[in-house]
Parts: sequence; structure tokens; C-alpha cells
Amino acid sequence: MMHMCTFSADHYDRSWWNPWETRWYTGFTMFSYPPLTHQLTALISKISSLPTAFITVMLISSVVTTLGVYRFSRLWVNERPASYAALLAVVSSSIAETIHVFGQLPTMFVIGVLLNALPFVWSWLDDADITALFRGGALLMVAAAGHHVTTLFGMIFFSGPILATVLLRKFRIPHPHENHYESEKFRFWHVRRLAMQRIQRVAPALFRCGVFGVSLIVILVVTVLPYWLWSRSDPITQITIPHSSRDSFLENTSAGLMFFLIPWGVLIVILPYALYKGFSTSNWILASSLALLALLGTGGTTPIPALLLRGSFYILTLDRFTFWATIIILPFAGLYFESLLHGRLGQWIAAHFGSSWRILTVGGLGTSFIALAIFTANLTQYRKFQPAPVNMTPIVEFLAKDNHDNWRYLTLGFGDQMAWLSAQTNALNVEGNYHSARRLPELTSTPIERLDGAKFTSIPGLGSLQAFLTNPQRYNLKYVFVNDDFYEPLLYFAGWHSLGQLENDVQVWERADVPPLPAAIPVQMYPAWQRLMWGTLPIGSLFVTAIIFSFTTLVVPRFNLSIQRLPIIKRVIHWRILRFWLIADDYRAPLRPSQDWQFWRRVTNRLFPSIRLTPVPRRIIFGLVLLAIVISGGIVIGGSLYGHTGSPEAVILAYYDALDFKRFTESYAYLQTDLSQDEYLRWLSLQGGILASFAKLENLYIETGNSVSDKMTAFVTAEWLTALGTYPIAETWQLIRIDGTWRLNLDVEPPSQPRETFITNTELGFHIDLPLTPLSETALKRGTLDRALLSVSPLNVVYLPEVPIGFAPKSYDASRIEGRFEGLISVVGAVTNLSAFPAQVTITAVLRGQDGERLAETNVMDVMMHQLWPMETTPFRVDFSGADASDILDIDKIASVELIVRGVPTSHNLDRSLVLLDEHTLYNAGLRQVDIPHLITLNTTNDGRIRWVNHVYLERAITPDAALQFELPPMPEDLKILDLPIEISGPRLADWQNGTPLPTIVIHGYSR
Amino acid sequence: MKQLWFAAICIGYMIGTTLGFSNVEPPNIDGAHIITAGDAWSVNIRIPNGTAGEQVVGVLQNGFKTIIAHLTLGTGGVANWQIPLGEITQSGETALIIYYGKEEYRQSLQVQPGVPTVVELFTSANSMPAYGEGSATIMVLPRDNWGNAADNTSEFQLDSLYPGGQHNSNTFTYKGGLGWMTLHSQGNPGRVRAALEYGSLSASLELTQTPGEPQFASLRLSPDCVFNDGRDRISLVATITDSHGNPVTDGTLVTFSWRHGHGSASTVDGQATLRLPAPTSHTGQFSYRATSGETHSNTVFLKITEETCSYD
Repeated sequence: MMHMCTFSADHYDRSWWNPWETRWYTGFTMFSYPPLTHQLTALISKISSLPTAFITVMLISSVVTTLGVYRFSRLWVNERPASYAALLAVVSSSIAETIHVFGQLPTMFVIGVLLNALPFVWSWLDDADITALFRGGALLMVAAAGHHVTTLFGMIFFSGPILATVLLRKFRIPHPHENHYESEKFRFWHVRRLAMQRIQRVAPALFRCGVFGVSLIVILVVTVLPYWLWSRSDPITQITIPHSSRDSFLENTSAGLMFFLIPWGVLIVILPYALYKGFSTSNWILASSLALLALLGTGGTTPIPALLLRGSFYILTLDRFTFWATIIILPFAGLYFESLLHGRLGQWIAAHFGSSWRILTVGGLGTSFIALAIFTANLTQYRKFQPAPVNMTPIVEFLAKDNHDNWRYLTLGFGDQMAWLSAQTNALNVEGNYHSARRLPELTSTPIERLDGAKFTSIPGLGSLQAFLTNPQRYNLKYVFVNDDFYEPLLYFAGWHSLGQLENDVQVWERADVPPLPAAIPVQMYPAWQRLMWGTLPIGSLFVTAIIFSFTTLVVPRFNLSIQRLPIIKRVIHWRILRFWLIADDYRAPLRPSQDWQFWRRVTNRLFPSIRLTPVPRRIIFGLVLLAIVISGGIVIGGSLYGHTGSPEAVILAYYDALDFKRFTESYAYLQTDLSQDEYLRWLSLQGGILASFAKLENLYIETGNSVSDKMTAFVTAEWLTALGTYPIAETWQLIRIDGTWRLNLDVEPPSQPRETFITNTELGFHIDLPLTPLSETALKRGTLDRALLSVSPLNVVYLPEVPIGFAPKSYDASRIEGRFEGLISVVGAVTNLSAFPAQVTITAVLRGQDGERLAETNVMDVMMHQLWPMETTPFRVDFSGADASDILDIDKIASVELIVRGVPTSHNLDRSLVLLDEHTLYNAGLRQVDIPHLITLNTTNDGRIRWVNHVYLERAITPDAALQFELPPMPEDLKILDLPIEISGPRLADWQNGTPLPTIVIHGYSR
Repeated sequence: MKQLWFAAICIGYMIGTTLGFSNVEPPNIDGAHIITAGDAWSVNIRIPNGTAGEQVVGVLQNGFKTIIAHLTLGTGGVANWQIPLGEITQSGETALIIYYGKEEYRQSLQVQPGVPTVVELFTSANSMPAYGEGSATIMVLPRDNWGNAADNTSEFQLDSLYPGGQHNSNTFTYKGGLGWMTLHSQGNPGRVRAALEYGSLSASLELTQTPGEPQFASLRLSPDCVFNDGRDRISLVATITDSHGNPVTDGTLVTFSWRHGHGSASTVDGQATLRLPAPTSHTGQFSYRATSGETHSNTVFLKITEETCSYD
């Protein structure tokens, strides 16, 4: 989030008045996010740097929030508890998390401003102070300019209790002129009179509520009007992105830690007190707001938030509610500490358990608050939420030289830092870090937040990434910066090649034959008045606030100005009916509300009678009992933790976790094996392959049998996620308990010695000393690359009705997302490189309708060898899946198919060291280990036409001079051939010679 | 009746006024209508009924460039607009727009390219098959000081020198300032040098003539007899040549095949080698063959034996 802020600030630093940002998402509008904090950061960065400016604004926000907490608390409690509340805000773990872990500057800024605005709102509603209305309005304008959602929702949860409380108080306070007819005999018409009197009590305040409401709407609409216009004209229609804050915190304990336990922190101990204290006083409406926020913040732990929020449940991030709850609780927490230090609670503890317990409680709570705040602020140091910081300079330099910024780029495995990279370069990224602004169907049709972290959203995320990497020419995407090995196989088999590592260890991958960006990139133009509003009003809100505060502070008191003395207003309020219903109010000191209706008071008074100091022995006994309870609790928790880590399931989980994170030495500790540690590590290294080197453990299913004499059998299914798909691997483990600790029994032979110790071979390499583009405007100045001469076999279009082709939306998205999510259409064939040079081949298939209109278009993903030696032939299969294909609701609308085949010289990915020794054995005749062998098989009809092209990745690596057994995938059963006319086109094509041998199986592989 | 007369008079005035305004004569533009890119240009703009001191706005839309001038009418309603050298640089049709009051007048101006000062040669392919089997399109783009493509009247000749020493001279066909010609290969593989000279202008490029497609293939096996202990490795060496007996281009893929298996290797100087372990399954004869494109080699046989291999 921090980097997103700095990126946005960088935008305003570069072009304040232009809302169109081309560096993300093939262009998006900055109207999509209120700009104040970003503009403020941009302004401060003029005299410093972007990170410094960000920290400065965040620091200001923190101070404003602390002040706001004090001012807000004063509305509900006295000065001393309010002071404690402000102090607790400083050591609040939720604020520490918001600042240090999430870096949410707009949230912090706006909550601070909002809290400062609320006392003015109260003052206007309660006292009809017109000055307060202006001050509050000005501050709310600042809040709206900072973050509209917080302002909007904050009004409900923060301002709502204020409005309700003021109205309730007004309702209870009688006017001096009221006649309650207490001395008269009750008559029916008294009811109407009495009701009118009650209404008249609240009518002026209600009127002021209306004035405030209308003012708020006007402020919200006007301040960020271009945002509302944009959201109306370009509504968000994307599949909901999962967020852990909507999970059940009992099942997803990590989410529970991040979005519940850490933000609540020690305040969770105070929550029952706060609710008791709130509901038993006139602050019960604020307590209701707190209870509701706390409930909504529990996410999917209970069904209640989903029932309450309905469709919004799947759009909102619910941690926001917890954050607000931890702010609203602060006045009560202040009361709690006041009571503990100076009041009844402290006295009660001292009376029942002794003074030492009172000191211990205060000290323990205080220390816990501080410790947890420090812990939270440094949480990212202990638990990595983001990849390690990457030095961006080599990437920035790479993009700046040799016209590399003539193409778009993509980052993988950078995390939020990708925004920081974007802020430092002029080059364009195909994606971005603000998902509400996404409009590309490849992004909006899958529940993926960012391509950069596609692996964290499993198959849907990787599907979206595959769409981009398969069709890079659509986005002028030529370079991918990879900071995570996980993605290498996908890049390689999708036709990309590695250019090597930069100084910061980031790998650069390139795709040949991608056209450069056009000279003029499409830009969305907005009317000048909107750009003017966006550039002036949000930042101007600060000046408006400054002017209003100066005026109301310096000018109004000095000249004793009053709006009510204006002749017009004076005349208006002279009218009785207006004065009576809208203006007249009672300014007497508020009466203490009756507590008679609080029936539970009688019960609580019985349960907790008034405090009486007790004799010393009794305190000692109570204190000892409490100590025993604390120690017992510790023992129970410790035992539970031990059971959690020492069980067979826990050992299996720990073993696989160690394998997943490549902590191989640690994984050895969970094993019972005859192998030495060295032999074990060598055995592991010889496993190699996609699962060992490029996979992430997605799910682990453990089923254990009964334990018999310290032995147990466990059936484990590990689902490994790779960039090329999911691999479920089932294993049966024998567990043995040794010295009370369960271990997994690994019974394997020590790795055998190599067949030959010295292997020789010759390899042919190429170097192309030419520019990277084919003939084009750019190439006119820099020379040209040849177009490869290619020959394409007769083709077939096939249909597999049962195969999923898109991410079917969940029920809550279904109303917005329409599509055909099953039924794969594929074009199968073979292509030969007839050029005198190795060629990078790109095959694009287009499905066309009756009128020749384009229905869908895609390249071959990984079912082909993208780089071909001269005279080499590869089968290929173009699969129509993803957003384009999902949009074709009726496949009968497809009238024809066009295949575009093109190639350029290449010198990459030409390793063909794998040999098919027999039908089921592969052999590595080369000098390098093949990490991921890939087999593509071709199946023909009786008349020799290609019917289906299948492929399989082998899970194990093959070292030089080693062999590996394999099984080919079966033919799909429900395959149908579609009889459609096919047109083949391309820059240099030769006719397919009848009799050209078609390989039934081709083999290649990725070597790191 | 009076009202009718009054209405008729009003309508008459309205029609007369409208016609009077619509009869404003267009301005008279007195200047060259065809100029050369980079030249200075002067034009007199006469506004009929224009009076001295009135303002006229002249706009010249030349390519991506817009030149705007605020001109003051002199005696006789004439304003003079002078555009200096190097301002009008883009060849093609240029729009001249005159704004006078609320009226707007348009006229076009033809800007011709200047004399070529730079010439570039480029090709659709850097290599082509030798022996007259291949060709490449060579293009020439002469441009003036301002980057405008020259007129189609340019006449350049391309001199080509082939690997065997043959010399050819070809002319280009032009359209829109771009000239092109098809250069056919001649003789054996090697380098083709193409050059163009015209006055002080010159340009050159080089192309490569590559060998043709595989036409002949022969396969050798070494050794041709091994023990069946699975410890031996065999080498398959294929020699591939084109129709003229020259080695095929480096990197040509050769597929070696045998019973239930195959492997591949690329040629260097016409030879491709694959080394692999000898079969271990059983004794007997194993056959191997090499294929490149549509060309197949002879079949070679490997003898697997339990006894001693005899090398006669």
C-alpha cells in the first residue's frame, strides 16, 4: 500500500493536471481514487524524496489521529479517560499494523481528520453552533478528499452514534414551557399534545441533522465529483477478489491473527468491560456501534456479517471494521484505565486481591500494550508478508537503455514493490497495484489481485498470468522481471527466454516477435473542468479548512460576528413557526438520564455490591487463587501447544513445510532413516524436477491410522502448485515414535554412483547481433530481422465439451458475470521451420463469426516447441480458454478459423538433449540436467490428419547420462471434430509437402 | 391589415439581412500554391470590404505542425503573411485557414519534398537460399533534409556482387517515394554485397546466400558391435548436404530413429552427431536411420553380442 501511495504521488508529481496514467493496466484514470494524500505526498516530495514525503504525511496523520482520539473521546467521557484513550492510541496495535504492516496512509489520514471533525458535528447538532458546522464541514471535505469510503462508512459508525445520542438527549430534556398535565385528569387529547411536545423537543436537532446530512452529501459529491462520474460511467464489473478478512478465523488462523488478534491486541481484554460500560450508560449507542463493528470484523467466522452486509460482504475488506472498532473502543478503554488507576475497578482489585495485583494488572496491561505495539510495528521483520527488498536501480537502468521501454514489462514475485519500480521509470507495466482500476478482461474475469503474486491465488491466478504470457503481443509485453523461481517453467514453456540475471539477482525474461508500443498510446481525455476540479478541490480542501478555522478563530470572536444577526436570517427566525420547529432549543444543562429502565442494574448491583475493604487474609487467599488460575492457564496453553507441535500430524506438516520452504537440513530432523544427512541431501538433489524446484505446497491432506506399539501409518496427499498446474502426490508414510517424538520413516537406498564420471558432447550455439524487432518503423533505423520460412500441416478444429475453460463465478458474482465456462475449442496441427536459421515461432488462432467478426483470439500457450531448429517440426495445439472463449456463449456462432503463423530468428531455448530410448524411457544425452522434461504427442486419424495433440510434463528431472521412465497421457474420450473452414496466413509460408513425416512425439525440456 | 403589413415588412428585413450577410465574398489569397519543403513563403490576403486595422487570423496546418499568425489588414483590406525559411517542412497537402470575424475560409497548399540528401537501403531478409532458389526484396528510401520521402522521379541503381564474382545492376520501382526491387540469389552460398551510389549519396548492405534444403544424407555408426552389458555408448554421425553437395546450414535438425525411439542433433558443417547408450535388452541387430526434412539416410546396423566382436 505504501508503494501504491508513492506511485500515485509520483503521478501527481509528474503531471498534476492529467488524470490519465499510462504506466499501469494499459492506462487507467487517477479519478478512481481520491487524491489528497497522494497530492500532499507529491507536494512534499518536491523538497525531499517520495519515501520521505510519504513518511512525513503518515507522521502527520498519526499525530492528527491521536489528537482526534482525544477529541472524540471527550464527547463520551471526561478529560482524564480521554487522555488515557489518546495515550492508548499511541500504543494501539491496530494503528501500528495499519501504519507499519499495511502502510495504509489514506485510512490513517482520514480517520484522524474524521475524528477531529466529529466534535464539531456534535457541537452543531447539540448547540446549533453554526461555526462548528462550518468547521466540521471543512474537515469532512478534507476527509472526503482523502478517502471517500472511510468518510462514507465512518459516518455510519462514528457519526451515527453522535446523531442518535444527541437526538435521544434532546428527546428526554423537557422544554420550560411544556405542560405535562400532571395535575389534570387525563384526557385523550393530552396524548396528541404530549406527543407534539416530544416532537418539538427533537425537531430543531432533527432539522440540524438534516442540514448536516445535506451538507455532507454535497461535500462528498462535490469534493471528488470526477470520481463519482467515473464510477457511474465505468462501473466495476469484476469477479470478487478473495480476502482473508472474509474467512473464518477459526479455520484460517493466520487470517485470524492478522485481522483479528493483532489489531485487537490487548484491547480484546477490555472489550467486555467496554460493552458493559457502554450499555449500562447513556453511551449505549456508541457501544452498539462498537459491538456491530466488532461483529462485522469477525469476517466469515460467523454467518452474521454475510447476512448483514449481503452482497457488500464479498466486496468489502472486513478488517476495516475491526480497525474502526479498535478506535471506537478507545474512550471506553480510557475509562477502564481511569477506573483501574483512580477508580472503582482498582479499588475492587486491591480490596479483593491486594494492592500488588492492582499494580501487577496496570503494569502488565501497560507493558502488554507497548510490547504488542512494538511487536506489530516490526511484524514484517519476523514474518515475511512481502518479498525481500529489491534494489530497483538495475531494472530501471535496463528499461531505460536500448529502447527497452518501447515495450511493456511485467514483474513477478516483487510484491508491493512493483509500484515503487513503476514510480521510478517511464516504462509501462501491463498490470498495477490498484485492482479497482483494472479493466482488462484477463484480469477482471479471475479472482486475482495481481499477476505479480499469481501463485498466491492458485489456479485462477495462474490462469490469468498464463493469458498474459501466452498473448504478449496483445499488450506489447516483451520483458518480465522474475524474482521468484516458481514462474520460470511457465515462462519457458510459453515461449519466453531468459536474458540472464541483473545485478540485483532478478532474472530478465524476453519474448521475441512482440511489436513495440505505438508512437501514440490511447489516452482517455476528460473535460477540462473535471481535471481542474481534481487538481484544485481536494488539495484546496486543506486551504478551505485553514481559512475557515482562521476566520472562525480570529475574525468571528474579535468582531463578535453572528450569522443570526444578519438581517435576512433575523427576519426568518422571527417567524414563529420556524423558530418553534427548527431553531428554538433548550440550552439548559442536560439532566442526568434516568436509569430506572436499566433493569439489569438491579442484578449487577446484587452481584457486585458496593466495595468494602476486606481483611488482609481474605485478600491473600483471593490473590493466591488468582495466581493459581494464571499458572493453570499457562500450563493448559503450554500443553496445548506441545500437543499441537508433537502429534504425528504436526510432524508430517512440519516435514512438508520444511520441504516446501527448501529447509532440507531441517526436514532431515523429522526423519528416521539409514541415510546420513549428506546422503539424504544428495538423494533429494537427485529428485530434482518441477515439484522439487518450482512448486509450492498448496494443500496437505493427512489421514492417520491407529498407533500400534509406537508405530503408525499415515496416508498423505500433498497438492503441489506449480506455474504449469497442480500435482497431487499421494504418499504412504510409516511413522515411528522414538523417545516420545514421532518421526517419518524414510526407507530408500543411498543414491547410486554416476554411470560415467566424464561425459563429452558438442553443442551448437547461435548469437544474433541484430535488433530485436522485425521489419517495422523502428527497424528502419536499426536493420531488420528475417522472417522465418514456415510450413503448416493440414489442421483440425476439435471440441471437448467437458473441459473447463474459465473461472466459473461464485453465486454472489453470478449476476454480474455471464459466460460459458466449459467446452474447450482447440486448433491442432504441426509446423516446420524451413528457414536457414533457428526460429521463434508464434502461432495465433482466431475464431470468426458469420460476418467475419473476431470472436476470440489466442496464441499457443505451451503445447508446442516455440523455438525450432532448421527443418524441425513440432505439433501444436491452440486452446481457447479464458475471458475471450468464455464470451462465446454458443459455439455454433463460430463460422471459420484463421491461423496466423510467423517466426523470427532466435538463438535461445534450443536444447534438444533428450532422447526417446524406447516407448517409455527418456535419456539425457546432453551435458546439463533437464529439470522439467516436456513431451508433446500427436495423434492422427486414419487418413493421416492430425486429430489431437497432447502433452505432459514429467515431475522428475533427468541428469546427464541418466534415464527416466514415463507414461503418456491418454487420449480424451469425448473429442469432437468441428468441420470449419480454416485459413492459414503469415508473412513467409511454404506449402506443406504431402508425405512430410509427422513426429508422433517430440521432447524438449527446461534446464535452469 | 396593418399588422399583416407590419409582419411582411419585418420578414422582408430579416430575409434581406440574412442574404446580405451570406453574400460576403471570400478572401483573395495571392501567393504561390505549390512550394518546396523548407522554402520561405509569402502570401497576400485580401478581404473584400475589409477595412484597415481589422484583425485576420491565419493558420497553416503543415503535417503535425501548426503555424498561427495574427495579421492586421492594411489599406484595401490586404494583409501580408511571410513565413521564413525552414518553417514549412512537411511535404504533402497543407491546409491554409483564414479567420475573419466569425467567418472561416480554407484553401490547400501543395508542399513538395526537397532534393534528396540522404538515402537508406533496407531488406526484407538478411539471408536467402543460394543457387537462384531464393530472393529478397531490397528497398530504397531517399529523403530530403526534412525527412520527406523524395518524389517518384528518383532513379537509383543497385549494384550487386555475388560470391562467385558475378556482377548485376538493377533499378527500383517507386511508389510514394519508396523504391523496391527483387534481388535473386546466384551461385554458391556466401556473401552478397549490394551498393548504391548517386552523386554524393551512397548506401550499401550485405546479404547471405545460405545452402539449400537437405537433399542427401548418409549415416555412420561407431562402433557397430558392442557387448550386451549396457556399458557401451554408440555414436551416430549423419552427414547432410544440399542439392549441390554443399553442407546444409549449421543447425539443421537431424532426427535419428530406431525401433520405438528417436533422438535429434543439429548439424555443424553438415554433420550431426548423437551419442547414446547401447541397448541392453537383448542380443541381436539394431537398425538406425537419420532423417532431415524429407531426406532419409541409409540404414546402419548395430550388433549386440554376448561374445567378442570381430572387426575384420
